[in-house]
Amino acid sequence: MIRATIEGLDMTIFGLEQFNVDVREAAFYAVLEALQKAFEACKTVIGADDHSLRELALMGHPYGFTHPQQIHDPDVVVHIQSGEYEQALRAVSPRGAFGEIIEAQVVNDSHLDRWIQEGTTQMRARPWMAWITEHYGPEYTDLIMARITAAIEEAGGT
Amino acid sequence: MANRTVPAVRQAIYAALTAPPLTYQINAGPTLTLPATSIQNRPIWSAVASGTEPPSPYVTFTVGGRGNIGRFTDERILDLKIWVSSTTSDDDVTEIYEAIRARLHLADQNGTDDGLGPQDLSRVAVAGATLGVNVRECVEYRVLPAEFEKASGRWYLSAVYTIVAN
Repeated sequence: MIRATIEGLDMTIFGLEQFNVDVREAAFYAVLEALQKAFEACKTVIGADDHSLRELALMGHPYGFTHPQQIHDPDVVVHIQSGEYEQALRAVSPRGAFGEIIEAQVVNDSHLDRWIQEGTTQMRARPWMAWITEHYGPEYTDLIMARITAAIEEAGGT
Repeated sequence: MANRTVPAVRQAIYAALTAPPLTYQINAGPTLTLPATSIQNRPIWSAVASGTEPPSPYVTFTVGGRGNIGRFTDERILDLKIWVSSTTSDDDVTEIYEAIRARLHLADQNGTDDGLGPQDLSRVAVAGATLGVNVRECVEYRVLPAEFEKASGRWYLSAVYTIVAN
């Protein structure tokens, strides 16, 4: 079985070679902090528990093609059914502060991921990772940059 | 011009995939033709009337805009998303996609510049009229390989292209 990650959320910082240990450590912890926030945001988006499978069926299958309806804002929200999909969500932490790049990622390894995010002939797509990136991406970038900038200033750099 | 870009690119993609009809081969077998009616400009899930099973094989595509990329140029970066679906086999969707890729690979300005023929999407004539759009690039960005989905009983392959048009 092929496992496809559709839109893994990536956070990458590069160009840190010129800075000292304190700045690199600040960058590392900033990425970790943003990763935790992103992970929680992802869990919320794919963790709706207000509609059971039966309730969705009674509503006319709002994620099907015959009676599409927007029942949540954002529309990309995914409901928990068996819990398999939510449990397959994982955060890949940065490995260290001393490489050329510091990188973290949120991925979902479930085989359901592709069908939920890409859609099928029977189910419309809910590209929720793209929504997270678009909606929260600037916030995470700002957070990381603020932490790095503060560390640089503290170190007396510019 | 900018407001016309997306519909013009849609029209150009449809023309590139249907005229002449898309042909493909499975395991060196006979050449098969995909009828134009099996290629539609819509997302895969909204492609059929209520309760009707979509054809097999089946190709759908959407073109979406990302907005202007420059204040002083009229260029737009667009996403082309393609779904290929079939009830029969992964070979079907893979070979059809290869045929699509070959068409789109030759369909941008680079293909023309490389002497690959008058394939530029901007020069595709639909109903005898040019489209008024210049496709500078049409580049494969991501492909998900053929995979079977139980609920719909189909194989799917999907791909995203980045198109730069003005």
